[in-house]
Amino acid sequence: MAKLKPITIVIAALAVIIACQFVGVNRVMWLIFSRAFLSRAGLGETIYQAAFLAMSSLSVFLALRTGLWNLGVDGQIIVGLVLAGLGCIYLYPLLPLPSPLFLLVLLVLVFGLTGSIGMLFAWLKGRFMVSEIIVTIMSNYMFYYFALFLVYGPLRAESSYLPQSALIPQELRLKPFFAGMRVDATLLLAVCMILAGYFFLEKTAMGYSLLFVRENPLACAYSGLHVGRRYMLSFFLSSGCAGITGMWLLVSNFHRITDSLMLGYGFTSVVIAILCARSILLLVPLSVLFAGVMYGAGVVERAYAVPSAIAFILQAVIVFIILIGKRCRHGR
Amino acid sequence: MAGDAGVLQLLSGSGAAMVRMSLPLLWAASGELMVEKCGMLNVGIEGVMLLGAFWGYVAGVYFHSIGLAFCVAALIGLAAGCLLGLLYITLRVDTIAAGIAFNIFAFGITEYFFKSLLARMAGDPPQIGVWQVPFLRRLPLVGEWFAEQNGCLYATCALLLLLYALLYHTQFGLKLRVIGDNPLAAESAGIPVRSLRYVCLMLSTAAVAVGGAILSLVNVSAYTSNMTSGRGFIALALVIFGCRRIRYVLCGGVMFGLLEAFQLRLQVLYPHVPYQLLSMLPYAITIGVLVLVSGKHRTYSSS
Repeated sequence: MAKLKPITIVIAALAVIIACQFVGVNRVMWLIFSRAFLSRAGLGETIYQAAFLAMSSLSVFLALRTGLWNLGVDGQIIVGLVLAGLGCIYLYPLLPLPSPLFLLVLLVLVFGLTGSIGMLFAWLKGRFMVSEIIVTIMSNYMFYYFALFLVYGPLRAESSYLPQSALIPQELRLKPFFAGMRVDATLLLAVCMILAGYFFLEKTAMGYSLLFVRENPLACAYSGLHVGRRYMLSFFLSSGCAGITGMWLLVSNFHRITDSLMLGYGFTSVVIAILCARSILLLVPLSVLFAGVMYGAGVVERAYAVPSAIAFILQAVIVFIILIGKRCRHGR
Repeated sequence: MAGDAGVLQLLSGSGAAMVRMSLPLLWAASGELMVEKCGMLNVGIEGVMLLGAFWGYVAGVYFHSIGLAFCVAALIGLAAGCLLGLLYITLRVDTIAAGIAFNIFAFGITEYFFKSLLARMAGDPPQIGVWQVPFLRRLPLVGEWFAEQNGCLYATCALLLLLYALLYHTQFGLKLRVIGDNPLAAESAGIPVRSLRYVCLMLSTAAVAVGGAILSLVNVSAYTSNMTSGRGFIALALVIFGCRRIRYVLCGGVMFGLLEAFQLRLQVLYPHVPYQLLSMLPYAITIGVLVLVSGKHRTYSSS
């Protein structure tokens, strides 16, 4: 393919912006931006949501490091949420642990259990060449329906008219740092996870070898690296992160398992992971940006009746532009 | 209800529903089959199907004509194919990333217009009439399955026959298969690889979009948010475990139709079994069959 000239791209971009001006999209974009970033309440909410988004994007990013697509983030978040719910409601009264220590134990448990499910998917990929894309997408629906079954059946609180579980104990719920904002320990956890991810991927030999598997699995196998095991490791970490996201949504935000479980983090996380390409630290600004877009779109929907789905269109267009830009830079 | 009579009722009623449920999957799988035959993989199939389901439904409500609705769905499919072709073939971006982004794009577009356009449109979608074919009805055992079917069934049969003829009995099909096997060899033999891939992709996405429209207009008679719920990916899986052969894809499509019809009927006949567990079945079985089949066959061809 002949290289596209930069001037063509600039002209095309300008044409798109001018076209957007005529249909009023630019005004909506400005509204979204100003609501999400230019007010104290908006900024607080954006940062709060960005922490969850960063964790779920880290999940997709870790799988993508070996070239695998974890499109089952939504399902794994549900698994983490339900496991954490079970732990908080049934396990906490049985264990004589202080609440922070219990949360830590639960974190490790949820990480391990959700990670094991992901590891199973990667095993199928490594052993049978089963497309992880289809398996993870199918697993989303499976986990969703299974969680619905639990919420409508065995887990439903006796006193509740709605299909929802009992509330988790008061002392296990996270407290906000500042009055009037929801920002809490989630932010610290997200930062720690990204730093740990950075250290693992960039500073350890095992983390670095994942990149080789992505670039050329056959060459890796030939040179003695066990490709299947690396697939399993990356998917274990990836699903584990998604599980933790689910657990943290429970203890910080929902405090109970309800029947609205399709939270839609999956799509946005995939977009962020694609945009990050190789650099894990880019997760931070991109999560903040996209959390802002999602939050702002929600506010604009309530105030001006512009459907918030415009945020998804915006995300997809950004990915198209990035992919095309990358192709133009590299030429053929 | 749980006696023999219940089981018989389950089976006889499931037959007709099975045929109906398998139609959208068969259209989508035929489309994907064609694309894979010429060595590409369209992960954006779910999005194309969703677009077809939505715009087909909107056109059905607006024009109140089933024929026009399918035409609009096919046109939307062609347009989607054009966009995907631009990404996959001309710009040669990462196919999987672009496909996933296209799915998000389609989800955003349908949600946006679902809330802003369809919510304000009044009226019902057009009804499709029953086509009775006399000799089919008199067939033993399966006769009842075909008694109440509409034109979509016969259109699907025609599509599969046409696809078979196109792929295996025309020059065009031969060229497509050559491109799928070895694009470089095809290019050096003077076959216009890129333009044929464009044509193939656009025809395929038109079929996939019509499959979506069958789902919303004929099977459900309503549009709900994200209504394809993974069916596009099930169609993709069908092509993979059908080893890209029309007869296996047909068998797989019918099997999934049966499964879906079966679980819906089970929900009615055995209300004490939680419906959520039955709804998990098609997805769980997709994974199961994929594992059983994939051990022997490499899934993706290099393009």
